[in-house]
Amino acid sequence: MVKVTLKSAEGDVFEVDEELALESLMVKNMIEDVGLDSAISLPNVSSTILAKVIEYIKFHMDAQKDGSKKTSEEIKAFDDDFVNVGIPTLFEMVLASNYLNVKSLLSLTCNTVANMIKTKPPAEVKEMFTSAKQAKA
Amino acid sequence: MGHFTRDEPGDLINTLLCDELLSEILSRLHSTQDRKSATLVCKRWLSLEGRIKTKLGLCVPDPSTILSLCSSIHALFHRYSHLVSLAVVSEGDQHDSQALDLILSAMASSCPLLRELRFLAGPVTSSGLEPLARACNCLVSLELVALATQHLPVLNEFRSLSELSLTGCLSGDSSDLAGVPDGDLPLDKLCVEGIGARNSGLGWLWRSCHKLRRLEFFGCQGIGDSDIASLAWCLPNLQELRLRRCRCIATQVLLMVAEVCHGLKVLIFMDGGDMNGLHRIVRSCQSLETLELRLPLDLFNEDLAIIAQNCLSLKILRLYSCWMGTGNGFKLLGTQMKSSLEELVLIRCRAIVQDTGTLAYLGQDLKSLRRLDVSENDHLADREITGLLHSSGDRLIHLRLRRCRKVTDATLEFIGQKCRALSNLVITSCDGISPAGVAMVLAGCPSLNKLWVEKEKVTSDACRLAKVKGILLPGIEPNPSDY
Repeated sequence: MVKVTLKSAEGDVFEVDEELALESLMVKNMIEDVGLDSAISLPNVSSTILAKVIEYIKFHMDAQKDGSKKTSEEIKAFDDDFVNVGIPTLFEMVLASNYLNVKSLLSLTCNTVANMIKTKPPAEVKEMFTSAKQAKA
Repeated sequence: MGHFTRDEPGDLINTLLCDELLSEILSRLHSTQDRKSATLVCKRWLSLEGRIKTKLGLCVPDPSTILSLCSSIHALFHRYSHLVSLAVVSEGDQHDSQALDLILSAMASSCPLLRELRFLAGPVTSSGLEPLARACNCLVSLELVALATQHLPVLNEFRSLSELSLTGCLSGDSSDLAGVPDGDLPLDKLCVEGIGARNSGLGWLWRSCHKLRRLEFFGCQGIGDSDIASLAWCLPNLQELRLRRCRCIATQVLLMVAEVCHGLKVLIFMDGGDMNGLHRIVRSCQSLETLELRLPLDLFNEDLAIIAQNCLSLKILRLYSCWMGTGNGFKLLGTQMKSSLEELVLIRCRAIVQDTGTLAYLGQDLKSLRRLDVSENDHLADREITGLLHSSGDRLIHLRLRRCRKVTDATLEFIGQKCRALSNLVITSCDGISPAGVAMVLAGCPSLNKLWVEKEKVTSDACRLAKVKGILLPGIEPNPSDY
């Protein structure tokens, strides 16, 4: 199995299967342009987030493989747990999945943010995202 | 990621996310209430929400007040600049064409992506339509009301227009367009509604649609031209003709189509007309594939016989409220259409209820039948349906028994045993069936995909079974794609 080396914003190196790396259309294009020889540098993605994205892709690739016994409930449970993070982390995942061009993850994270907005009055929406910032800052 | 610092203004979501991503999130708010509430969060969300909106319905309070609201009309369309589909209606009955033209111009300057426009607020003129044609060059579908025929030539400017509907009484007469050269409209589909017996001036339109494939008349007492022959210009390529509530002109139009057009594939003819035209068209258009008729007191056995003998490539036959035909008439249909007919709709059909054995006979003959609809036959007995299912039940993919009140669990049990290929089944408003019958269908039919039935008739066990077998229960179980 061919390996691809990804380098996060902090310079940490992640070695992953090529098959997994190709799930990111951005990485796929990079590989087509520059080949597999050098590490692919991802200056917009932190190590924590990159690790999460890799975890997400890996789970879904395994779930789709023949012989996978994962039910749709188990997959949903994984997704729910995966996005059960603080608001700042969630936004970083929105940005990372957009930057790396991983459609399913972008859709999952955007839906999660939308669900947080749903049924809340405007003031509460504002409050939610402002207090999240203060918590982070 | 550290793109923001302590002293940056605004909240986290606005600081971090670009317009594109924020729109992506807002577009996932599906309820109107959530959308509305999101627009109140801040100005940026308001403007992004406007850009997400691609469909809009607009009700103009009173067209005479529009002139004073000019700037707000512009602001409105500016906010919804990505509109693809727009419907404009009016509350008042004051028709001020100048004001309505103004709405069209405002729309034209702000919404270049518009593809569908239904402008039903009142009559507009070429001075409103011209800028629209220039700016919205991807407009494919247009519906206008009470257009004066003198403005018809402006339609030439809409180069992508493929569907046009003209509703409401048209005004004008043939002298309006005297000397105007015929146009070349790229129309594929044309619907005209409510032409009066004395209207004239539509001759230009008929002479200008050479590519027409679908034509529909609804509630018309005339064709809008003193000479019916002008209709012939738009008929050579016609594939689909619909005539509804047009008793006065139905025969003339059918005779004309029978004479000029031989490639007709679809004929839908409802509510009024004598049978001469139908006979002629059935005899001359041998390639007819779909025939849909609702002529309760006009359709007799002789008419069914002419259809049976001539429509040899018919795939779809839909008959509504067929009171006069008898079992013998239908048996002849079955004998003649043995191999071609794939869909049969007999809604409110006297013969299949009263002349015992009619359905069973059809079932034996129609070897290609895949879809059957015998809805609204209140007194249809179990033995009639099972008689048909006995011979063709294993081929049926769609079966609709809505409001067949006499049908009982015996039919459902038979369906469960026999209908191996059945994918869609409708048994709503069938008072005679019980949860036990529904359970038999769910347990029996191996290919069932969707079942329409009332909630009270599905037990929790049956619901679980449906889930396990992947059978959708529309209206009961929430659709999985809603998540």
